[in-house]
Amino acid sequence: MIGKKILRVICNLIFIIFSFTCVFPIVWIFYSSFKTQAEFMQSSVALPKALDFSNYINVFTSTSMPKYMLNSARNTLLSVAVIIIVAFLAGYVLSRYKFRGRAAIYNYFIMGMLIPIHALLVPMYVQLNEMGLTNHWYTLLIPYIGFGLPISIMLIESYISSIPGELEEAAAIDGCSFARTLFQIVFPLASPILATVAIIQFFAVWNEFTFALILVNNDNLRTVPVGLTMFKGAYTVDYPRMMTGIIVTMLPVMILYFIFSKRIIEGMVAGAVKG
Amino acid sequence: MKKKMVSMVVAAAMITASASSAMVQAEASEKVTISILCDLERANVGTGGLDTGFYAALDEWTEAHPEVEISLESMNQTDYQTKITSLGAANDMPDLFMLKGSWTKNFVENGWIKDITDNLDADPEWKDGYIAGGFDSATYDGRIYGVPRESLATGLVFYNSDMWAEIGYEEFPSTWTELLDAVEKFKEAGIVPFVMGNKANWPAESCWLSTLGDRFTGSEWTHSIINGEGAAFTDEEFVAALTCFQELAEAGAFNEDINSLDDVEQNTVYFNKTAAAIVNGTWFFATVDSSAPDDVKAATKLALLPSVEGGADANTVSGGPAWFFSVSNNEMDETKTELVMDLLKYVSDEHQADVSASTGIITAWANPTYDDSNVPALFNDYNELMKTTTVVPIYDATMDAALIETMNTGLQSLLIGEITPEELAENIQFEYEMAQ
Amino acid sequence: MKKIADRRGTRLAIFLCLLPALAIYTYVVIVPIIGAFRYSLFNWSGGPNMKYIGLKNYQMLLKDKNFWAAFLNNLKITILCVFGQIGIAFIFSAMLSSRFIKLKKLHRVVAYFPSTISAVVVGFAWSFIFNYDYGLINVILRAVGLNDWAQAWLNNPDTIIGVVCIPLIWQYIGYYMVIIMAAMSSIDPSIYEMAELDGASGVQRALKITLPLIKNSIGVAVMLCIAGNMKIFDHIYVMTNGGPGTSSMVMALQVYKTTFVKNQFGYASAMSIGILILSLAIVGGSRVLINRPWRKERDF
Repeated sequence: MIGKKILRVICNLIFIIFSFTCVFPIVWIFYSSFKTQAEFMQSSVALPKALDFSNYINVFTSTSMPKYMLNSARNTLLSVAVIIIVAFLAGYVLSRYKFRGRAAIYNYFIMGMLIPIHALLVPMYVQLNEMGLTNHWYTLLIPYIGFGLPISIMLIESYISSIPGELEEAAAIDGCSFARTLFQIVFPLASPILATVAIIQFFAVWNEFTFALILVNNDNLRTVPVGLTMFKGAYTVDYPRMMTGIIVTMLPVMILYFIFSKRIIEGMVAGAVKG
Repeated sequence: MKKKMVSMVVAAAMITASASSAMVQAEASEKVTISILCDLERANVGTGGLDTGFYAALDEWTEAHPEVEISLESMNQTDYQTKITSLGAANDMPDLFMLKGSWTKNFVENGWIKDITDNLDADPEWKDGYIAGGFDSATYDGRIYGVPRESLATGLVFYNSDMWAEIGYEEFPSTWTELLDAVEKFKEAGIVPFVMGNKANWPAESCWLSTLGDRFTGSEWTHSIINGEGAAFTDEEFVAALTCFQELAEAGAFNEDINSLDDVEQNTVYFNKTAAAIVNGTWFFATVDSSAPDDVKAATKLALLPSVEGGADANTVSGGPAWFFSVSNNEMDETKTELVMDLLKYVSDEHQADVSASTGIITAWANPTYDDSNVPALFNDYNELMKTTTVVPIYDATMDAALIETMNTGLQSLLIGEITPEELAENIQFEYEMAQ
Repeated sequence: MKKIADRRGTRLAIFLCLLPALAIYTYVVIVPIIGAFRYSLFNWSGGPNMKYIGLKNYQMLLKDKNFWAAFLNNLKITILCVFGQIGIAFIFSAMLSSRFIKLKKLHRVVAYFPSTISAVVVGFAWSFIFNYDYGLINVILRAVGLNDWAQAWLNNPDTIIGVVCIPLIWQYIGYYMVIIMAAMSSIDPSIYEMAELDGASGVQRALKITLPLIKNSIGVAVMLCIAGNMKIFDHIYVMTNGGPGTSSMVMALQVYKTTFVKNQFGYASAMSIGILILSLAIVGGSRVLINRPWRKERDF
């Protein structure tokens, strides 16, 4: 019995340590952002001696970070909205209807998850450029939506497959139209997985760097991850200042995460692929 | 001078502030738009010498040309490289951009870059304003494709003279044997002799090997390699240089984390006095001046790598212009061509050089005017040192980019004993023959 | 329930629902793949001069030692991550479903958090944790007197793959925990009760009951894990840049360098197509081991 108790204590301990490591890097980046460079060099782990906000003032006054954040927010919200709708439509018919070529279409979408984006950067840029689609406010939405679809369709398809279709049948008997059934009955039923998809895509788009670097050539269209590279000076790194940049760019996302954390996890648990 | 700096900083701040409203007005005007892509950041004005000089010149020119709309995008060097290559592939080059010497051949063959030989010839005052050999790395088949923006020296030894005095060296060693002896003494004292942050893998080649190689091969060999005139990387002298480099690493001359420290973090190790010396480029003058603790700043001196037994002239350092301002082959009407060429001249001649020089940048413009009371102390030491020193080619500014990549990754392995000098030499030679 | 598309109206509806997804996805993902394939048949350094050379790039690729070394690294990372990410996630999920773990809600919320952080920030934070002079690991080792254990973690080519996998595994444990816990929640609790009455231990229950019942979800997780690791780029780029030498080079990073540093666009495109084929083969292979990551008609 004592052996069992010790085992339980150890298991709990492992979990506490693991959870601690999950938040520690961000906590460390956060408090380090209040240090001066000299203080940071003396000890990288110690807490700051005083709260020095100068890094924050610097980020907001001498860089265009607020502008980049607006761009990122616009890209993120629009991409996520379009992905949800488009992937929902495709995921729904793939899971509910039997028609020729369905498996082929499903696999065709899944293949998209196997391609490293750097492999497609040049062909994609050439293609967008020829059609005059680079350098617009909507430019980045195109790859974000396209690359976001495969995993979203996969998750939505498997979720809808796992929920019974009685409500839809009842609606059909009542003479409910296809579109109404889709949006008034299935959509709410699928909301947990749609929330999951929204969350995954939200973070993916907010953090995306490579397309944002290549596809727009205008400072007014820059996004946060690209803006963050400015904080690495040419010949020295001011670590606290760079960490301030990281915190500023992550803050909106972190706040969202912890406000909605309960819902996020519930959504994930409810929505993740069922066997 | 100070006044100029202040006004520049103010101008920089104002432009940042007005950038957000630029989007609105962009459509209304019928201005000539000139697009610029560069690796110089406005955020570094005041701390980065060349950034300061470039934006000063650009802002002056823009003010004098209200009919022109400048569309500028800037980013760090690595991202810049990714971006400019993509733009080229899509045939969407910016009007004015930065060219690295080693890209010249490829960019010319792909037709991305304008031949400016005639423009330069038509303006001898401009063309002759630069140091001798200034256009070399941007010249292909006798035609010139870029104007040098600065003149670097990459292989300078920066050493903390206090720390070297403690182990008995009042001067930096002048022979390799002495250097190895010093390494031994530093190791006993628990000090890193030389710090190198080779994560981005160019410092070992650009800062060390370009000069160390020359100690063994002499610069004739290097020119023969560059021009494809018979020399090979498998030649005894070059292999000897690689062997010497590897032995230096085996002797413990470098920090443990040589391949995982980056080229900015390495500066910090030197500033902390964890390391007694660092081999770095002329850009480091300003860094020492602005970021080093006072005692390190005062103790830092310049030297050249020591001579090797039976080697070539030891009074050399790898250097010269590595980056250039270039104009793209985009279709432009006459007015725009004239404007772009004018801008090209403005950001590369004394308008840029005077400001850059005053911050300690070694300009490619031969005789910049500046107030030398404000420049970093090391800048003056450097000018003194260069009176007796010959400049030899920097490998990555003059040799084919694919070859350099093989050399750079190979050097990482070489320095931790994963590959022999002979193997590395063969790999580089293979890539060299492929490119020929 | 499965409806059969019989009427014309239904067929039209299906078509209209699939159209936007198919159109966008084809334009964004498939057309560039075709473009990459076309480039791969050329000797191309980025400019207008493209020289058709047939399948020569592919012949070169087959003989390219560096590419296959990178592929091997991808394989090692993938294997370590399949066992590290999904294995640990399974153990943690099983532990979280037992009664004796406290603070369950907190653990769940926090475990998923790292997967919301961008790879670049994770790479940056961990480069720092691994730093020789002032990195967390070495600082702690030195503090407890294990000075000899302190080392330049990202500098040893023999262990580098293992070391770069630590942040990777750490970051995605929570992600796979969520998938696995979802599957576990659908298991009928009465099965466990019966097993408990039969005297099965916790470990036995996890391996003999839970694992077989959530096999399909594990299969999907494995596929996501393979897909993610065959194209891994950012973490490696930030932490090691493929070094020391080429000891942590992965395929996507090699494509990047071949394109943007060496300017060999044609060859890099052949490499990209190679990655796609290899990834498809490996996903196909994993399907033999764990059935159904890819779907066939009869699975529906």
